[in-house]
Amino acid sequence: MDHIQFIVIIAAFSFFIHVVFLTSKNKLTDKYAFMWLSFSTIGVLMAIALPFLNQFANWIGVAYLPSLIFLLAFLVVLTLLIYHTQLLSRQEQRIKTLIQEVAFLQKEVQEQRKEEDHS
Amino acid sequence: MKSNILIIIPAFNEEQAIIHTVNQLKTFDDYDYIVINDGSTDQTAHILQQHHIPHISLPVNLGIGGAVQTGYRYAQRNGYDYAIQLDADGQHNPDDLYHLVSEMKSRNVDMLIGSRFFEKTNYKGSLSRRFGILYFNYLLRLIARVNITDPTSGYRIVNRRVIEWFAQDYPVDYPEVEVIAKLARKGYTVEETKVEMNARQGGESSITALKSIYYMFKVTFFALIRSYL
Repeated sequence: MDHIQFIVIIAAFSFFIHVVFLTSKNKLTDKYAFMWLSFSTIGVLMAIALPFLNQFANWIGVAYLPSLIFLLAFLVVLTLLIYHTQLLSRQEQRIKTLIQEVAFLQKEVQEQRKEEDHS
Repeated sequence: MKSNILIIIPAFNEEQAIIHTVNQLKTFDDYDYIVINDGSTDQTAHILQQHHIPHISLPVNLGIGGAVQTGYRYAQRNGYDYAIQLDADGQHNPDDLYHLVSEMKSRNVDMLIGSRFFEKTNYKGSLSRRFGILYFNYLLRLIARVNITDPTSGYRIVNRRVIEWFAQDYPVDYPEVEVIAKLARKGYTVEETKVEMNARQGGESSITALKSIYYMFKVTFFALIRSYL
């Protein structure tokens, strides 16, 4: 094992620990906790399998392994981003409906209070 | 509820104009109205309370689309047959209300827009505003095959069918042009009639130079995508 692989494994493992920690403190809800646990596990496994990845890259004809990793990482991040924006939009929509509902309720409560005051 | 027609007045920081606008409406006994206070940070909420003006106060600011939609949802829940949008800043002339309603009923369309340009009126807008209006007119002719001379006009009346739609789905910002495109493409009838518009009573226009560029791009993009797909 060379130095760089050691560093990569430490980094991947730290990330994994961080995700486990966030999950245990309920800072990630189940769905996202599971997603990040999967990602970080894959990260650790890839760090361990670094030498084999080099062979794999040679085998499929990629001359420079890091470029393959960057490409994959970039695609994963891009997919995650659009997924999160989609979630954000849905939350916005829901919050809007909630705000409107609160306003309707507020109006009803006020009207009822007024009626009570009059009677 | 004493009428089957609801006037929706979205208001954001309109403390200077709101009383004047509502007072003008009081002469129209036969229509209901509701002010949607869109999380104003000035005295608008206080004024509405004090003068016992029918209103709904949104706890936070939703922007014009969310505010207007609140009005449409209110109309839907309370069984109104027609809803009219009227600006709080006094630009829309309440004298045109009867005209809008009677035209709406006689023409039996889904949406009727009060237009400044349908016939010659006293309206004089800035050059850039006129250019924007012309552009949207062309856009709507292209994608929705309707000729709307004043597509950005917020002074409009819709029937129950459209109220139901808007209660479910209404654009977040710059909704005026986009909804025309969507309605027309889905086979709803959208027409215009002449109205007079006044200069603003107070407040400031929500559209600045940079915003108007965003406005044109945004509306073009969404009108195209949401109308065709």
